[in-house]
Amino acid sequence: MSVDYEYVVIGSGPSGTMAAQTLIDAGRHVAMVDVGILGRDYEATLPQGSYEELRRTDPNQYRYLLGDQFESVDWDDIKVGAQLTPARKHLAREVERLIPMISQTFFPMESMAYGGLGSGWGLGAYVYSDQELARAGLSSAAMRSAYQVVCDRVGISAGQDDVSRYVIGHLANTLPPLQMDNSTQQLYKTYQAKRRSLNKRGIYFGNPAMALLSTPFNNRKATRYDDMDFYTDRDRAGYRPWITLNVLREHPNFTYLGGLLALRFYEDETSTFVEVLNVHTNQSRTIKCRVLILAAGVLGSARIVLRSFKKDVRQLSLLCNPYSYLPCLHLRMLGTPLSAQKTSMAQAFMIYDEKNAGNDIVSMAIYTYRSLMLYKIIKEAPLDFSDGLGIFSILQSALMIVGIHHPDAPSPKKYLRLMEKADSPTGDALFAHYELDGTEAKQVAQKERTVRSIFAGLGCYPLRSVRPGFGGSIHYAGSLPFHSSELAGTTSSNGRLHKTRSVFVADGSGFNYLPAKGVTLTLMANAHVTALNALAHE
Amino acid sequence: MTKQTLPQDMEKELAVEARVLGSYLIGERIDERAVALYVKAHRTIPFVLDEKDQRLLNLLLKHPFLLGSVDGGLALVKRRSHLRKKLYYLLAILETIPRYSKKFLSQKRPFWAAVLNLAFFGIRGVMRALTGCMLYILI
Repeated sequence: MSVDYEYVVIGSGPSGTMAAQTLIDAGRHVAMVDVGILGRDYEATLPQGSYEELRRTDPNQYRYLLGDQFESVDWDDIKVGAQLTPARKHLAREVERLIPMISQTFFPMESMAYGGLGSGWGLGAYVYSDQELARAGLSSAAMRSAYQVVCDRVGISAGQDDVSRYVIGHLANTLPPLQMDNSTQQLYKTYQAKRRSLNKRGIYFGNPAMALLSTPFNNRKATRYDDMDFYTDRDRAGYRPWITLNVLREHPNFTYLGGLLALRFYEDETSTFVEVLNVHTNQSRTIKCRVLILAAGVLGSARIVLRSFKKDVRQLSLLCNPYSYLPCLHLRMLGTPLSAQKTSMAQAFMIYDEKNAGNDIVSMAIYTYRSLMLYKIIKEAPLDFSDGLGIFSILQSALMIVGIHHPDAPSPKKYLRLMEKADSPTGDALFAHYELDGTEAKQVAQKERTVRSIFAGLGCYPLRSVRPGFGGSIHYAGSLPFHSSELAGTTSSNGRLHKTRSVFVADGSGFNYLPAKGVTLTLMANAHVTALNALAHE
Repeated sequence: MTKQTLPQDMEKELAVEARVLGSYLIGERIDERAVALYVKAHRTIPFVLDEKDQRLLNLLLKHPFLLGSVDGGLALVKRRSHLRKKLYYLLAILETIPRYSKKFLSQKRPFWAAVLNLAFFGIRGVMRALTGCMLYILI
């Protein structure tokens, strides 16, 4: 049998790179198909120093804070991706042109970047409990060992506290927890004083598990706590898929095929054929392989499958964590500046486990606000800019942003279809509809009311809920759900796409349930498991 | 975003505009570097003022003391006005000028001083917004 490549992996995000690494480690020949848009190089414009030092001293800071073309100054209403800094703005580039989306109800973020959406990952690294894995259709035995493999590859900093059982489960070899800043430490003290009664209500507070290094790990340096995490990946303290991808590209068995958008696939008796579009020339060609691994992200893989099964599959399901931000005022911090040394990422993690049964928990990532700059929040106040500046320069150290995630389960009101679109390079666009049913919407509203009262009880007063629209969590799943029968548009428990011989799905498309936790660690662990299953299938 | 060149006269007008808007925003004469960046932003970003916004801008350049009220009024009745967009870009630029970093980074101060300052800016902001709304209707 003559093929171009033994294995072809589509996509360079967290799933694609993890699957590719597992296959390379097993001695296979792997090619990765990827558009691979690179960011403008702001690294060279960035002097050494912490955010506050640079703000006080660097005359050229506008370049990396606003962008040479002011690309990070966004006058529109808050939407997904509005907070992308110049160094990460490329994540959204070419998306509207190459992979258009049509929807009135769903506003996702997708990426064609080198390293995929992983380049903008908030670095929260949370395991799903056995109960959650079972609901998602994943094997807990396989996933437990896969979580450990991924943890040993990427490095995870985590504490041993009230949220450990929710965030790291059985993980071993984690690094020490990251330091919380002074505002979060103060909130933690208040929590500890009320701990017993809060725990009875199912509320737990502790350190987040983060793929951000508290100590050096695998030739990467520890975080400098310089609050520059949104602007640079220097020292590679935070894990990004491109770190793995750059290592893989040095390997003789690995081929990176950049500038290519995967369109569809088909199989004959012995091989799989992938049609790809060169995004620079608009020419398409076909790549022949033995095994195809889809890791283009849930929406990307859905497009490929809908095109490939045009006659048999017209609609796919969709999962996405409902998400909202809750800006709060932590009044004890009024007049006290934030710690000079801090990371920009989540400072703490909170769980609301209503029945203390580990079912349908709500999670909250807690951030303090500084390095995303003041002008962005001044815009949101119904005030003149001058008084807005006066008010928010005082309030900013007391400002906490709580990101609230709710779980999601399938329903007929959440689906994807492919529509014709003549002016798109692929000739089509993905149509999405996402709507919560009455019970789901009530549960979300009721749990958010509880969250607001919890924070008020901790002396952290909620201002208003900001809902960036469905899709804003950037956690997607469930488009090719795991199913025991050989149905088109579903996936077998080992990750093989039903009605195919050698096409495997390594991203979150198979999950039948999406717990309210960051999904990236689980995506990487699932990709590792799927790659092992593909090897076992040979 | 494409970079355009602007006629020299227009650049001079924009520099004057930057100085007026800038001193309203931070209460002092602004750095020439901020002025240059404001002009640069106009080469890259579209600012399309409608007739009423343009009339307001002309009025404000002649009577800068009205800026707070007009800005506050627009914040209530026409949040996404391109006149406010100009102020917003200048605010972002001023935030990146080291000389003004103290105005944007949080400073240590007694709790009571923080509360008093908040009350001052809050009350002034509301007054400005109300007078600005009336002005907007009249103009």
